[in-house]
Amino acid sequence: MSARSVSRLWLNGGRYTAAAATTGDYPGTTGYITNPRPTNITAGQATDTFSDSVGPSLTMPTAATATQFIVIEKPLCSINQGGRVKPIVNTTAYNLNPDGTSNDTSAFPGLSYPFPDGAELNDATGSAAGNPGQYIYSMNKLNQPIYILPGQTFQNKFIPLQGVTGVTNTGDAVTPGDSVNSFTTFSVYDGPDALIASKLVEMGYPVSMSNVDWYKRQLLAEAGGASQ
Amino acid sequence: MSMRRQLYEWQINRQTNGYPLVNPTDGTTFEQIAGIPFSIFTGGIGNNITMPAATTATQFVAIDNMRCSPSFFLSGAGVMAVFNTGASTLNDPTSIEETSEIALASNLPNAGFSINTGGSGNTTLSAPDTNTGTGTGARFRITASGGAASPNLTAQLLGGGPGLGGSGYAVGDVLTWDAATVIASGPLITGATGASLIYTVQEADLNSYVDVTQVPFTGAQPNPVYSPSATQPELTFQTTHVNPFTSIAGPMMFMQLLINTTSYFNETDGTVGPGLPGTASPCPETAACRSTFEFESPVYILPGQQWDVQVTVYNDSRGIIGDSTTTYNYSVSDPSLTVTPEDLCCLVQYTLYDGPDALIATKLVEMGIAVRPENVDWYKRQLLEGTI
Repeated sequence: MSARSVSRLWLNGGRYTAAAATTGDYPGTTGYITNPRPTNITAGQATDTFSDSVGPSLTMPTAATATQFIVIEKPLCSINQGGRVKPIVNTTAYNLNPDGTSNDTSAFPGLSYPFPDGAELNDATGSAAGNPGQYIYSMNKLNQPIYILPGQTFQNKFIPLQGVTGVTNTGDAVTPGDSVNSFTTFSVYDGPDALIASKLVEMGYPVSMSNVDWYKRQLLAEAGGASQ
Repeated sequence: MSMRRQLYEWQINRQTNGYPLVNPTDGTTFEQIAGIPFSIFTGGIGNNITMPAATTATQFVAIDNMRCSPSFFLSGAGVMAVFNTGASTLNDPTSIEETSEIALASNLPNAGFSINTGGSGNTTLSAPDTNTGTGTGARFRITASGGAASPNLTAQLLGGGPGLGGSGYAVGDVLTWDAATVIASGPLITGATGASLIYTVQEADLNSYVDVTQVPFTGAQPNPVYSPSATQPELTFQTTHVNPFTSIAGPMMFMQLLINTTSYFNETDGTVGPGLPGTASPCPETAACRSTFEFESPVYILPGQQWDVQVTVYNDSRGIIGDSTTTYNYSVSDPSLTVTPEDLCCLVQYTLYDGPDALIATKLVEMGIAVRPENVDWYKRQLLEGTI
């Protein structure tokens, strides 16, 4: 029985190879590496920030086991290169257009869900140092949890609307690349807590740790224990 | 019986006892800790405590918050903006360029002077007698060219080099040398009619930085060296240094909470990752990086458990990138350079419940009630009222 607040940081940093230093196509890695080099991403290319061939990857796609209930709280991403994130539960993409369609531009924009919270708009245009102070903060009104029910799979696609350029070097000079990222915070309910989370969904209550605790107290009260 | 809000602060540039390092060479290099988790309590780096953190049989700890150094992820253009701004600082745009020449026709009336072509080829002027601006320093020179039949005058602004460039000049400043001053400057000038030498500073005379397209570095791949110098600026962004090879400013620091042998921050595939990134829970928290992560419910350290906070860094964010002899807190041998030492920090905020309060905290956990001071107090009131 447990409920934990956890997170996942992804970035387009790959492993150095001599060939990649001239092309900017750095291979992805399993887990994080030191001094990850920004790698190329084509405009519109969707990358799963949990398990994919770009950046640090997990060993398998993300899924809630039969005894887990996952609540995605904040899918954030960098504002660089028109970054966007699209959460996908099984085959259903979130944030559809009003006509019911889903495309790259309907994904959550980094300008609404920036990471870090306070990223400078000028980070993307290169004029930050000369014109600081245009900090971009999260639009919390858009924030609503996404439930991953037991047995469901989850992907969080990062989609840049502009091409992401990898770092390259020729001789003793380097052309810096574009570093993009995605950060996802989520809560994992395991065992009996996952059952309670599923019950809360059935009851129409939002799944949060405080509500799970509240449900436990109700159970204890019914059993004759104390309740707040 | 007590409840206390506690805070533990760790910094890399400290002695074990918490005081600043005496000798910068005692600092830690990136290579020593790159990708390697180490304890902020007993890891032997920065300030430490005497033994691993643990709760006694009568203590209960609730971890409320964890923070560490943030990082900033920049576009390639953003890195170049940092570089160019640094370059403009190195090349003061208000200083006089060394080889800037004053146009003869519009600025230097030669009617009042004669050239002694048999003498020296040039003469250095003293400071202008009047200056409508605030510029100071720089050297000015009159150079003879042409021939005796057609004497020509050019004036050359001499700057460049430490202490010679002058500063504070602006376009439109009018510099005036009285005729007597000009004649007295050297044997090149002979005769005078009383006219003054007047010069108006032009835009082309002032130094200005030029956008560069590449960041030079030296060293063998894949661990190149970027060394700030008099011509290569220190790359800083917000509170930290930029690594031009990763386009990341900051250490890309993570923190992991361990309780006994169990890591708190697991990946979704069941593996143990480095934990929570400092960018999501930054220290310091600034306008450019606010916290986006909170423990929705505190993390509990039950009586008798041992706990630890380990941090891992993945990005070389020192001022000199890739130089394994350079520590986070180093001195620069070249006094003309100003390189800011890098500092890494981590904060842990927790509440320590002791004695009966620890018992109540344990009871609250059993009841499914979050352990917070107000809930412990609530439980005490229930006890006093006899409802429990």
